[in-house]
Amino acid sequence: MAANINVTTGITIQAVDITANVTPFTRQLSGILLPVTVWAASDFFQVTVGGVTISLPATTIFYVYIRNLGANNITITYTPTGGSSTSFVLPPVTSNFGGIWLYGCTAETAGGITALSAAAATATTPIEYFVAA
Amino acid sequence: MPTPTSIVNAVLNLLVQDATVTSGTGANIVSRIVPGLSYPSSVQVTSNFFYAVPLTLTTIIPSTAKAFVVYVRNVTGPTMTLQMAFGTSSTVTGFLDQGGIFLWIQPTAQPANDFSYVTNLSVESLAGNPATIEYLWAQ
Repeated sequence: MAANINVTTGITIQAVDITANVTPFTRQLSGILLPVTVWAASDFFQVTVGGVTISLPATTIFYVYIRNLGANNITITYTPTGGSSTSFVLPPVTSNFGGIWLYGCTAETAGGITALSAAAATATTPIEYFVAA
Repeated sequence: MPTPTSIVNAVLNLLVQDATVTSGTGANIVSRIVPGLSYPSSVQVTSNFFYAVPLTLTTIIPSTAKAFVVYVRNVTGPTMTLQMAFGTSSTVTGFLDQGGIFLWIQPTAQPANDFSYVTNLSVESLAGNPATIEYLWAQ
């Protein structure tokens, strides 16, 4: 199937030694491209304490981005292709942002994930997400 | 909390475009810029610009470490194995293709939270074809 959507990622990441005032690691990447045909996104997706399934637009997705926008921990559960389900926590907004997870491939030949869900601690908490395949 | 000795800063830029529109801004469907991602590290920041991934599963983040920032990019390919554990959970195995990215950034350390850090991260090249990655992790 020919791709009709391009997902482009750019990342700037640097590590600053604030004691010695030097920057030993700097990376500025742009144009990381994944051609896709389907995607789903939400700017403000409400995650309940009981948990919600994030509907995937394809059986296997090859790009996922999630950010915690709220004041409570969010537990993310996902299944990598060919692997077992696992969970982790995205902490709440602290110092201007909440926990972020990005997993992006550049082709749909290997990897990806096959299931994705989220559950909030304490109270309903918003996230933003983007998934594509 | 100890005084930070290092800070990891990041900016994330996500752009989704209609690939059938070849010019103009009308092609943009989703645009998200997430600036100001900053994690203060008081323990350790480890990075490598050019790491040749062995043909056997090899540890990058030891099981004794708790990483709250993890960045891995498969620079040269081919597809490689990426295995890690979130907190006290069992390890999970996935794959990262050439150019593929795994990015995990937390705003603050929660070392007592059993699932809020990455540990025991290992990599392995597949099918006798060594990949090269760049990585950074902080705790």
